[in-house]
Amino acid sequence: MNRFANFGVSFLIVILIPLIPIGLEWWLAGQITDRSLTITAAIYSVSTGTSSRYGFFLILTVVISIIFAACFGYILAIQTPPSHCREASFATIFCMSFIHGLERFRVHVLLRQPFQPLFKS
Amino acid sequence: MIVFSILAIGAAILSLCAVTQSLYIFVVQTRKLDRIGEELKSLANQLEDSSRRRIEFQDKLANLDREVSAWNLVILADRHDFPKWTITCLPNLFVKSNTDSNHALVWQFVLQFIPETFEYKELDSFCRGEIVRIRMGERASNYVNKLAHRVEGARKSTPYVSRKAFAGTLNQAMNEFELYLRQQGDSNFAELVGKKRKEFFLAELSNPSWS
Repeated sequence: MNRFANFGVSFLIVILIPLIPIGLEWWLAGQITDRSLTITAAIYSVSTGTSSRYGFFLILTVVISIIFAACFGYILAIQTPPSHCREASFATIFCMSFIHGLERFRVHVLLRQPFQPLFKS
Repeated sequence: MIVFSILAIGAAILSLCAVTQSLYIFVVQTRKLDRIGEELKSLANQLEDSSRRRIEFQDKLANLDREVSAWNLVILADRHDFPKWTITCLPNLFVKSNTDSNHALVWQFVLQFIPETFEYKELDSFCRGEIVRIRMGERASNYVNKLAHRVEGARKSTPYVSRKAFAGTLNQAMNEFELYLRQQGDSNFAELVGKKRKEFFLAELSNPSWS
């Protein structure tokens, strides 16, 4: 695979596939619930942080993840989402995708490192 | 409820801060690598006619050892079109990828000594074909590891700038590897290395562009 193919496959597997659950929810139910969005934001941000090369991002994403996990717990308990939680979750998911995409672009396109295949021959 | 709203908005703001920070790191690191590449290219041009060019260029590379990884140095050499002689000064010409251990950057000189029975595939080339990115199996990886160990030592230690002397050094290293294989009982591989070594050396001897 050339470097752009490596980046494309990496983007698909590492960045887009984890978002399939909310994509399916939107496709099947016509909308995404606040619960799904907050828990996705919590897990997605911390998974981005753990795959980053920088400790600063890990700390930041753990804090973000804890906040959204708390919001998720609040929504489960009270059944009423806090205002702007939906927009904040969307923004966080988008920002994390962007950060991870940028790192992947640097590694695969600029530094021409291959993408680790899922199944090795 | 208001507390959770503030927390959610705060988390979104933190995410935006992370985006800004990652963009900053991306730009700074890319520029830093490019600046190092330009400096090395400029130094290589200055040293072109010096009899001590290999030693001086290697000294400069040794100072960069912690700043730039071996893989990134090859990428820089390719991007900034370093002269051919500088490629043989790079600290490591057998570099395994840190994202996939089956992939490695290998000096093209080494490739001719890999037996056909070992599985490997050339995927990409760098520095005008001097370095090749290959994907290889475990057997090939172990073999290339041993081979590269011998060649790398000889390549890096030779101070001579002429092609003639350089070819002689490589011939000597391959001769030692051939003997090593015989001692290990790998006579088939030793035969192959011996045959390829002679072909390489004869081709170099008959090259009219020797300096």
